[in-house]
Amino acid sequence: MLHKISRYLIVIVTVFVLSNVLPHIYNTLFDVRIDLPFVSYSIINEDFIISRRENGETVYTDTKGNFLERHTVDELQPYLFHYQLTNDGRMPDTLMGEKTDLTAIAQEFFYNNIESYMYTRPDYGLYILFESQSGRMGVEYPEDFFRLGKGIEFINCHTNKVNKEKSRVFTQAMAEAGFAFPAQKVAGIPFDFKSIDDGNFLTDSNGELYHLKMVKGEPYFVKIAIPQDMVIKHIDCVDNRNYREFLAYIITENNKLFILKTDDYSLTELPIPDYIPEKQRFTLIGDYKTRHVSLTGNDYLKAYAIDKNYNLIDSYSESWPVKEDMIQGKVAGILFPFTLNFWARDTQFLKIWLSGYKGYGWILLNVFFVGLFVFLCIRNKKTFKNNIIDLILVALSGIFGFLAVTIFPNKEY
Amino acid sequence: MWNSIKYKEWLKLRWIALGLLVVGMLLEIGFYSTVRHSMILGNANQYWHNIVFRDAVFYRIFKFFPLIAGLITGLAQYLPEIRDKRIKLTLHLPAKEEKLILWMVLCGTAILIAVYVLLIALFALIGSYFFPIQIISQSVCTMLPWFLAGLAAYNLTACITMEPLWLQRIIYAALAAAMVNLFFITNKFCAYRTILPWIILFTTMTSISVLYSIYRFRKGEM
Repeated sequence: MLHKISRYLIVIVTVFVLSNVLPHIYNTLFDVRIDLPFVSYSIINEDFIISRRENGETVYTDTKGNFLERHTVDELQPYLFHYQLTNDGRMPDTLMGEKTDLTAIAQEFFYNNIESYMYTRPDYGLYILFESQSGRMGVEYPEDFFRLGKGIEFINCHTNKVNKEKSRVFTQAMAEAGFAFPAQKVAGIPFDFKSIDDGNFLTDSNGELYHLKMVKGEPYFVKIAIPQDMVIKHIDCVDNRNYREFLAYIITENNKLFILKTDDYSLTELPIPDYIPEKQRFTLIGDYKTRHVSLTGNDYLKAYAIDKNYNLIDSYSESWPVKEDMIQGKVAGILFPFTLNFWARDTQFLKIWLSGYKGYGWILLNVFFVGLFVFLCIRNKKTFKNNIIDLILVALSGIFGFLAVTIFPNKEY
Repeated sequence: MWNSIKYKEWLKLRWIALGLLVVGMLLEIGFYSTVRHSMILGNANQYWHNIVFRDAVFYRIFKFFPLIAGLITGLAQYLPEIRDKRIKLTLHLPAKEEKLILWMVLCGTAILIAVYVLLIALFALIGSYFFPIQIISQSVCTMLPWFLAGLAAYNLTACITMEPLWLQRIIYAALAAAMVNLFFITNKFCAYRTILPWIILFTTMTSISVLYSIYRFRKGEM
């Protein structure tokens, strides 16, 4: 009996292994490249400009489908392509009735990006607190990391020992500000290539938002007022160099996106009604006049043009065929009833999930393999009763099940 | 009789297990010496930073050691059994053949797990001198799939070694390679945490696969 169980177990494992390996080999051989469009807004002709790869070349169009030359695109988006225009000597002296200030235009240009997997990813639970006013240009890595539990603990990297005095001082400052340990979220920029340190943002066990910095070795810790019904899901800190309008993006549980202003910690909501952080890549390019926002999903892009007061100017969306809709995907859908996947768009952790059983093509092939299996059983004079489980497996998993029961044959000695 | 079987398996595996333990310990001492060296020459905070924020894995050299250990243990335990078909002697003992084989698998698995546990303990012990518990625990979490790959490799090596047909052996080996590859599909630290129960289940499902090969062997599959 046990040898039968051992066979069924190894057959099931084989089905799962093959359902990952065979589609992977197929994709390696027949994968197709999907070029995503880049969409930005032209304040000159008040329309979006879409650039995309077609037949190995980049083409530019407006939303009406009119083709545009590359140099025209530069001129229609002078704030976005100011470096190119300046380099070519094509930058106008006045733009939109304003004298062109190249320094201001360069300073107000920034790019931010939030990937969909940022919300669920492995984390050591160790963070860095830089000195925010060292008196030096730039920032330098501190000698310790901190962790959060019932208090804040700074651990010296050289000795791997807790700095008790520093931990006590910071824990006390946090408790005095009303911070309820343990922390829920910690966000900061843990790299020294930032222009200036703005510390870390934390939420406590009550969901309240706080700002933590170290100023000349002392704690700077303040509570930030947020609306009572706001539940923070994610904080993404930004370093926009000279443009210091805001410190971070705040995403709430109901997927509203706010910026946290530098001057007064006020929150401004971005007019993006359909942001799904776990499914979309968020990009924001800021220029002197416009915020160009793109939300990129698996098979669609939504673009928004927003003015500097964060009012919506215009929006645009488009979608494209996914692999499943192409010939390669349709053939895969027939060959493989399902695929065992380990990667997901919304996490950096591995995730086991099955995709497939779409359309009807796979049923035909499964029926074929069931027929072939029955034929082989009859030819080898096998009894139906002893092979019923194999038959069900082949019916459910098609090519994977057929290969598995063939590799590990059910011998009737 | 069961004690005799245990003793027989112990005789086959004791030096191999000791050898693997010593090599594993030397590897660990080796990469921790590198950690110490790097922290003295460079900055400890930079070293921590590379681990915590740049996904550096300071024990990467250890990645395939558990897999190799599983393979060697499986070969050391089952190759002698197929030499001159000595397994026939075991199968003729007055006991249920499946129970006999499972005892063999249990002995091999227990010895392999003991080696792994000692190596993980040493890793954590030395590591706690250099790093806080957060880095050590996440590192162990990163290594767990590697150790499970070693156990799966041991199980599948047993199945392949005891398989009587060469063609089947080659097919099983290819399949085993594909399966074991699933334990190494990312270098991201602790990325397997969410699917650990699944890969433990996969590994467990392969644990008695040798029974299928033994059954075919006993039935005279040539």
